[in-house]
Amino acid sequence: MLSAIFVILTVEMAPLAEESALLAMLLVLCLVLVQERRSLSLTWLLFGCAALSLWAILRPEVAPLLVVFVYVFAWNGAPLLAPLPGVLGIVLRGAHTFVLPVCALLLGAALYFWRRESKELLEQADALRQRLYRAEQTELTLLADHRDVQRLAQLEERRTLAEKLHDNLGHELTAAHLSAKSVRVLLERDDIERALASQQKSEGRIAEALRQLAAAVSRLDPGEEAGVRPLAELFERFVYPVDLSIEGDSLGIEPYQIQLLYSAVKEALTNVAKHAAPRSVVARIEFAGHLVRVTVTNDGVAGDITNRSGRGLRYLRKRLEAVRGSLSTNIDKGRFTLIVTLPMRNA
Amino acid sequence: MNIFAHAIKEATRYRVNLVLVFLLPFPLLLIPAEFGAFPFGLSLYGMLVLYTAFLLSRPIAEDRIKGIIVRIAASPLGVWRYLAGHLAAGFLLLGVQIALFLVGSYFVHGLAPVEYLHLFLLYLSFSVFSTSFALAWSNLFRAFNVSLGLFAAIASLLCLVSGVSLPLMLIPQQLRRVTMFLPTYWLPFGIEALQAARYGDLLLSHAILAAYAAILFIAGTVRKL
Repeated sequence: MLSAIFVILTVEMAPLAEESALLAMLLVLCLVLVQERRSLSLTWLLFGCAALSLWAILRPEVAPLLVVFVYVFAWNGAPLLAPLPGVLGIVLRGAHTFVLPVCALLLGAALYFWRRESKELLEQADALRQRLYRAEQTELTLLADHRDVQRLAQLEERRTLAEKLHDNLGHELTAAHLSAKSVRVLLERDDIERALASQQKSEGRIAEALRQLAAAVSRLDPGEEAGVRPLAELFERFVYPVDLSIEGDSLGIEPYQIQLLYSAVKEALTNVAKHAAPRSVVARIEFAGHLVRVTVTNDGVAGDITNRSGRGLRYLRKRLEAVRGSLSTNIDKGRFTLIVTLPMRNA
Repeated sequence: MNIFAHAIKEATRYRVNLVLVFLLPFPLLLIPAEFGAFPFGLSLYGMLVLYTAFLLSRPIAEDRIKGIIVRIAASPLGVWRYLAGHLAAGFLLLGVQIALFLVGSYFVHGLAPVEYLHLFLLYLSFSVFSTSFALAWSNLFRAFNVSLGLFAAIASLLCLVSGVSLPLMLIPQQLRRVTMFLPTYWLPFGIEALQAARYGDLLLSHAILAAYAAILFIAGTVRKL
């Protein structure tokens, strides 16, 4: 705003060079500066304009300065006030001087609307940035909750196991131990029958303890079939036929990792169904000692698709990276490949 | 120690400031009067006021460059109290300089006492403008030495064309119509008006110098991140 005012003043005032006009110009500039810095109400500008109008009626050499108020009122979005000083200036100076007030009015109005538009855009951009920030915070919170849930699940499992070991296995082994001790005492007393009976009881209790131990271990370790079964079922139920191969030993995989792989495969297959028309879909699940890798490739890439990831894959990538995994995609000659890796227990 | 005392201490820390305030005004008194006008030294003294005000504002400029003003703005003290303290210290030293100069002028030239009162007020107005100018000027630069170098060039030129370092009557009328837009023009104009007893024009000088001071003060207190 100030540069425009300086231009107006230079064009209007330079030829005049009157002392009182210069003082008026400086006072107008001062008022405009204070109004801009302090965001004063338009009332102050109105007072200034009224004072200058009175001064202009008494000393016409300051009349050109009224153009400044035309511009300032227009720039501040006061369309009813803007023409007034311009009309007074034209009346005092003559009709031939209408050009600069009209230009000042148009310039001020244009800059006002431009400023308003910019402010709205900035506010929208700020709102979007806030939403993005909140979404990122929510994402981090969810990832943290996911880790907490996993940890709690582990702790709960350990607690259950400890209870079972203590309540069942512990009692059986203690009883077996006492029975075994009593065998020695009975043999020292030459009570062979009771010693044999005691030894049989001890044997029975140890067998029962072993059975309970085996049951507890089997609950901990669902085994290969239970681990990858849900993944295999996903591929079997898919709308397109999938060439699935599973290689390696899945013993080291954790249940939460199965869950993550399940989500990744589901997302991949959903994307294939939505965005591709494949002739063949090839899937491989490899358990390679320290790493499990799931690869899904389809040859039905259509249209102008780039290597960008959608929101679902981006979120999955973050979940996988939170547990030291990775997700990558590749497009090559119409074939889209999704690769998910996770470290296994032995890593 | 309050801000005012600290500012006085900072300003008098530099020997050049002490020389400017207490020593340099006196050689100007030896410049004689010409063409029936006031002694030319009275007008040339305006240039000294300009430089003195600039150098007295050095602590503010350096605090701004070091980012201390940003910290002060965030503190309970506030920028306005800080500025008020420093500006008051600067005005005090400038007032002392002006008073010493006018006392010396009384003994050398022996003008009427009422004229010295008007001169004192005129120089005070000019020193207010000079301080605001220095404040606005130092806001433009990140290094004080660069600021000083450019200020010396610009201020000397301003004083030359506006009748401070060259008698006003030697400046052609066509040039005066342009240089009247320069703030430094209004000191020799005011001195000329005082000599011709045109008190209306003297008041106009005060008003214009005050207006320039206000504009430059507002420009000089714009905070840039």
